[in-house]
Amino acid sequence: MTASAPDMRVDRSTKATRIGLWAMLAVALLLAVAPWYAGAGVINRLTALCVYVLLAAMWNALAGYGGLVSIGQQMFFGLGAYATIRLSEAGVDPFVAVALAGLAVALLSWPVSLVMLRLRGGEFAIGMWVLASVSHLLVNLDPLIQGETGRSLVALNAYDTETRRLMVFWMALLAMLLVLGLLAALLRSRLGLAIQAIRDNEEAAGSLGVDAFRTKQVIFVLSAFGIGLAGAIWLASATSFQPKTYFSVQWTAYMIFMVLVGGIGRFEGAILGACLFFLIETWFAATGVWYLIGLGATAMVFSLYLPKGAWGAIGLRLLPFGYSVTQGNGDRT
Amino acid sequence: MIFQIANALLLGGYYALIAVGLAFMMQVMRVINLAHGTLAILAAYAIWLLADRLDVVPFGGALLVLPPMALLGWYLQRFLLERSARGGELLPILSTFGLSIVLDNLMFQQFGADTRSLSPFIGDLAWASYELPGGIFLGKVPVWILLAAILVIGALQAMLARTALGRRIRATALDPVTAEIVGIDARKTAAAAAALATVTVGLSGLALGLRGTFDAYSGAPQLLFAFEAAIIGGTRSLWGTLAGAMILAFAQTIGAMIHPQGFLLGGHLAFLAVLFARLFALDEALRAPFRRPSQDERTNA
Amino acid sequence: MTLLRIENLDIRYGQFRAVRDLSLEIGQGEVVALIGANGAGKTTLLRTLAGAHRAEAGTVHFKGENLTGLRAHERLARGLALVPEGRRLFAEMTVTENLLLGATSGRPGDWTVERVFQTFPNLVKRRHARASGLSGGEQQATAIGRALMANPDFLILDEVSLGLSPLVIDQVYRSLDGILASGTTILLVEQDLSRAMRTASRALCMLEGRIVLDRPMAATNRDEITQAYFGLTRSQRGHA
Repeated sequence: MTASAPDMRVDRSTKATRIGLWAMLAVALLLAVAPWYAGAGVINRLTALCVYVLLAAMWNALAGYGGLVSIGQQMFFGLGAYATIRLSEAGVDPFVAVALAGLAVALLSWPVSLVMLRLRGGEFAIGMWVLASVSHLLVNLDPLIQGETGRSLVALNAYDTETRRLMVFWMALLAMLLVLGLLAALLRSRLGLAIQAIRDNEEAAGSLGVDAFRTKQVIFVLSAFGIGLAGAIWLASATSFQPKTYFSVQWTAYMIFMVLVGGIGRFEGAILGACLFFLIETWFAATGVWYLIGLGATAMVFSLYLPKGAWGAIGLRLLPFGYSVTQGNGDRT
Repeated sequence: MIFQIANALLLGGYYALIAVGLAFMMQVMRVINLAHGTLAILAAYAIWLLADRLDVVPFGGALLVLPPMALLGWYLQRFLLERSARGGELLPILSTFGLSIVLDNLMFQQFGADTRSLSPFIGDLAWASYELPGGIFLGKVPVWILLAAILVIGALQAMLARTALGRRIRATALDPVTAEIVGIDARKTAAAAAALATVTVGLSGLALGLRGTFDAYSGAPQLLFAFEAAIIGGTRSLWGTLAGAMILAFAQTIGAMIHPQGFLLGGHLAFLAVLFARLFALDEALRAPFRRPSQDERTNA
Repeated sequence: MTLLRIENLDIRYGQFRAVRDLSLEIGQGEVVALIGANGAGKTTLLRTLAGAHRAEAGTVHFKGENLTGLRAHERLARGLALVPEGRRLFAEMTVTENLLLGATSGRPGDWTVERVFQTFPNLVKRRHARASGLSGGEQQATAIGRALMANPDFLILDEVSLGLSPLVIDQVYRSLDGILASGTTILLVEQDLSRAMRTASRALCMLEGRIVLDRPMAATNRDEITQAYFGLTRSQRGHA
């Protein structure tokens, strides 16, 4: 990077990004007061949307910024839900348990990262899938879960349905904003610059003194935290825990779909992808198998013909979480 | 006890057969096809359809299915792997994963949730067995599968070492740009390698159907078995894959003996243990299989 | 008869314009030395001719046929072979295997593995050794032999003496004598000016992606080439 060259500016905020940031805050505010103008069904759907954004942003962080494609992120989703059950059974308030579960999953992901991040490309991708399968099998062995019988978050019964719905929604919204904020802060930090350097060229970044392994570790743990939180919130919303549902590879398939369609490596792309996925699910989920075929086919087409996703095709930068280097003559590099 | 050892050995034969195509693509072409298991199920359904609708014996059905499988592998390489690889090494993972989702669900749409097997179509052979001294009975079909795996691995290794195609495949794997300069059509060579690998996938589909049952979503576990065997076996030779398949089968067998649900877990833990040992071993020789020259070192000028 | 005709060739290497609006003709049987400093665009030009790199604009005709858009193996099949800079042998394969790969195009001719071994006798005892274990000279001989196995009409040699001791360079060039005499058209990059002048019949000097000197070797001298090399003769730029 020749930031020292004359006539070159590194920009983070432009007019578009300032508008984008304000628009996002407005949307967040609008969502926060949704219970005053939206019905119960809408609130449930909005909870799902928040979880989708969370999942997409976290898979995007891993793949788009960390250069790590994992097919095993359902591991953290399932473990987040499982940890919530376990904590709640130990007497922790279920909503506190949700938050703690995210932290527990993040904690667990640290030692996992020490081994898995030494794998490359497809080996990492499927290696994570194997780990997800291992966690699924281990959770099944827990006498509390009793294999695929599963367990409900019974402590939630202490709250009436309406309170529960609102609490879960606000938690989902809060978690989404928190994790998006964490990711944004990460990308704007010194580490963020390193992350984008590594994504562009790992060897060159290494020669600049960037510790690629440590950087990837941070992203890996953040991703585990966000997805663990998402699993915990999903459980609080659905109340029943069946390992098969939570440890399903379908969750990762959804994440991949959202990120590929939205725009891999784009902060806004993951959000756009989650919104598109949300709409598609709302309209087509009833078609069952064809819905899944459509998702897979779309992901395939995007990976072949539009690898930068919809947002990459639009090419706009609305949020000031990346860097853009502008040359004197106006060429975007 | 001896019974279990014998069965683990035969199970390992099946794993070797399903893993060899994946290992071949990993070692030689340096790509992982996430639709690997799904393609095996596709072949199994094709053979099942021929048997069920047209009374074609599965062995004959396999002969009919293998050529289209080769063609499928060829086009998979040309239109999916090659195309997505242009966008970086991560995209082929995503495109093949997308393909597996499409195929899995198409098969579910077509064949429903019932499990199928090819064993009803081979008559008494399904129960026939060889008797070894000491009163051990080995099922004929599993023995044949083990032999087929050894044969396939031997043939692939000999092809790589001794034939012009084998040389071209190795050269393309080492350095596709220089391979082109030397006169090799690198794209066609990669497609030929993918076609060969996919033929072995078709064979493993036959083996899976003969040994047991399958359904539309059986592809994912087959991919994981194949992957585990290939990784345990290392990246040096396909014979390592055979050893890896045996280790996987024995670990699963031991797991099942320890706990009723320990079958899968045993295999996974063996995989993780090998991975762990290899990544953290001080012994350079053990680590070597994981060190490959980077793309830049190999090709860039 | 013109064998190779390059017209208005522009080549980019990343953001860098390595070759700018270059036009050139090489006739059958010529031995042309391409001379220029590091970064002058020589290797990029040669790799583009061989099809290992894409040109931005311009055309390359070989035996009257437009090569633009043809891939490297298709160009080799038409008789245009490159011995790449840095040898680029298949390190994990044996000498014999490397040579056999050179015959992939199946072009007719009298080069065989045995004839390569006759030309480069130092390879004989190494025929089953892995390329990675060879000395620099042996590697270079293998790389040249591999290109010859395609029976090329036009042979491009990129810095064949790079990293070799003078003694070994002599050896390599002595082995090349037979090939030079056989009428094969050759374009070679050689840093050693004396050797280039002795070997080639025509000198091409490149500077910053352009040809700044193009003369029959007999009509030029060391001073003129050196000046072109360092860009001191901008006023004399042009074709002979």
